Amino acid sequence: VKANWIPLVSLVLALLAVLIVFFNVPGDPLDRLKIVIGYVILILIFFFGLIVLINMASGKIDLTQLLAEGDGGASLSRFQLLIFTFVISLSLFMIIVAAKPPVFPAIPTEILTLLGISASTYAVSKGIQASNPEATKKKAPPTHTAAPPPAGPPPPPPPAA
Amino acid sequence: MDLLTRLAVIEGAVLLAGFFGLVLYKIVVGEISLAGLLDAKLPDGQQAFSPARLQLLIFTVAVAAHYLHAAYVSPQHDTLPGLPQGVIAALAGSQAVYLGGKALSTFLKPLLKKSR
Repeated sequence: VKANWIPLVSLVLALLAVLIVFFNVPGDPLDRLKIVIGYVILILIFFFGLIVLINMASGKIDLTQLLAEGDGGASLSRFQLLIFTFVISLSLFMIIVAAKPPVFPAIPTEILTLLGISASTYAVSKGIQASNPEATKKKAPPTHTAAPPPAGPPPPPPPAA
Repeated sequence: MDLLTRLAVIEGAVLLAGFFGLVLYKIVVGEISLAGLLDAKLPDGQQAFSPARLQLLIFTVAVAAHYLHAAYVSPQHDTLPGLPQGVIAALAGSQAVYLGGKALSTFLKPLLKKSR
């Protein structure tokens, strides 16, 4: 299904944002401009995210190999990186929402170290795999080729006319 | 500005829930496969259960749960909660064990097998 409605909805929302700012926001033009840019960025990021989500859900963006290793099994280092990414982004969101007014929090060095360790493990693990490709190669499926005909006596010569 | 802030929070919640929910759903229904997550490949090509992978998985889940709880109950809203140095050292050690096991099964075991 083509998502043709997305640009139209974006345009309507952008016009709505401009109307809200025009009628409701007091202050000088620079303040109004800041708020309009805020709305535009909000709408843009939302629809970029929505398009990615729709494509992931419909299978156009293929996630089947998200955790797969070279040999076809699941990779623990990829899984770990996925878990840490989820947990830290969720924590970041909770902290931002809890603050009144919302502010972007400082990121402690321990968290950067944690992500660094996790990503380094993934990189080293890939290095180990790459240095010995035979150990992690996928088993090739059996190939079915036509067997050569058995060697036998040569065919008899055609009868003389 | 209040409306803009509220919309930004709603948007963040929708996108985060969408991405996390979709990946979790695909893991649950098996579209993203977790088969072989705790298995290591032996030099002869066979898959076998790996205790090094199990301990790393346990450490990972424990640290993730601990951190999520710390973020939920954190009284400070201007910084993310930190992690104790001991936890980071333990996780680094766990990763080292995992990588050591992987290197052992990839490099050393085939060499020992050849020398016999």
